[in-house]
Amino acid sequence: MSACARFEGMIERLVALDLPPQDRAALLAHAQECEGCRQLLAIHGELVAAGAEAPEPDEAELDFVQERILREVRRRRGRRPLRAAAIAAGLIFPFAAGLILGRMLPARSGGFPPSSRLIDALHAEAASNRGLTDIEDSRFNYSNVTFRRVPGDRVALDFDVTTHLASIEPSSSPLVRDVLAQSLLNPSSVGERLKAMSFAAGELEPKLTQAVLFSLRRDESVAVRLAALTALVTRLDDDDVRSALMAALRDDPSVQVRLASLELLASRPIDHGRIREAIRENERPGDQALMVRLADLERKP
Amino acid sequence: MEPTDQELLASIEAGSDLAFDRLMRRYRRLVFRVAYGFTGDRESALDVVQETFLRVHTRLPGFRGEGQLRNWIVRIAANEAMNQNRSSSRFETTALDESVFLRPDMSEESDPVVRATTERALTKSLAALGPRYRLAIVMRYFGERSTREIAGALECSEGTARNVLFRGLAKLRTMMSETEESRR
Repeated sequence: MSACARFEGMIERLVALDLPPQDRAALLAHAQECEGCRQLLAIHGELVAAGAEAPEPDEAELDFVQERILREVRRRRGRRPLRAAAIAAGLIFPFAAGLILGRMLPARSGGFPPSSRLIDALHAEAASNRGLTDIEDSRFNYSNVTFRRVPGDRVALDFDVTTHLASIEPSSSPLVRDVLAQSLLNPSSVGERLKAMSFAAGELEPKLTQAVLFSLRRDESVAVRLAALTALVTRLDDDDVRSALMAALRDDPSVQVRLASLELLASRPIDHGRIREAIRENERPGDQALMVRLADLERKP
Repeated sequence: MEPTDQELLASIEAGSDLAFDRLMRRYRRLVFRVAYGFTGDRESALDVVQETFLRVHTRLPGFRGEGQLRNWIVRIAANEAMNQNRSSSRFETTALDESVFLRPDMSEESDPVVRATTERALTKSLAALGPRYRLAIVMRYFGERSTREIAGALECSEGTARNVLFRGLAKLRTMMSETEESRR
């Protein structure tokens, strides 16, 4: 057995947490002379450090995630029996057959007439779905469904449809703005909301600004609220933005968000008495840090 | 007394949200740490926690109860974390094959793109490791799991798990040396 093979065995035991202490000194002495083993030990050390530096999850954050999961589980459970009942009652296939025959249904009252291309795609999908699994895996998801029999052996359907699309659009396209705004308003992962926020920052027009302000007020993630503040930097002359910043300074549960709001507010001419009032209004931990920071900002020319 | 995993599973199958809540509470920190080891990002790790438990709930009826529930959950978490790092395509990210951790690893040899783009940083080299090695290393260093638990997640003997850990380290060394040389 070569020297390295023996010491590599020791490294294997070190990684597995069962290297006897008396072997450690011998291993370290060998590593002084052997570059290969030294590199292995260095990688082991870096991994130990990386693991030790990994953040502990915040219990409140985990509680929040858990609540969201339970809500989603309940929502899915609520949908399942409805779908199963509809299928069991033999409703789906008559509808599909009717649709395949190309009988166009009247547009939903009060809504937009469905695009014929979208309806065509729905027909094609329904025709290609052979069994329950296909329907479950369909790229179209139907919700908020109502059925009404109409003369001529037909059925009036009223439903929402969601699907997944990929498209390349000009960055100023109204569609891009609407998609971004909905990403901020609707439930999605924190990562997705942050991504949407970073895109939104470069495209702030009134609609998107309102969506960003909504996130600043309502998003449960501190990271997203901070990203909203960063996105608003170019809109500080807007009255709505300034009053939202003042509200964040006064009401936000995070000191970080309050501090960032303070920095933005103080970067424009504003009555500092109002800022002081907002900080003190709810008497919370962090108020003192905010007052110190305000005093710092006031001292600067 | 705390209910066992099996008791919780039975209650969840009977429709108990309380039991699922307890199950999540039992494993959520482990899932977070494994997810963080794969993603290196706190927010992404929280997203992985969410997706993992949703996936666990959906797939529980198919869980055969062979092997421990914890190992199964860890593999799902690792899969979700790797999916998150891949393309954002909806259809790619919904694919689930936790058996990828149970197969001999060849991905880093067979994926020249991954090899070519591997940078010196340890985290990037780690990302280029095959799933089996990666899971072992993440469980050991980020999940602070014993070799026995790693063996359970990989469905192998403890001896094999030790060997996977060591070879994972050796592969990281090789990748980092190659990247270093290509920079010179």
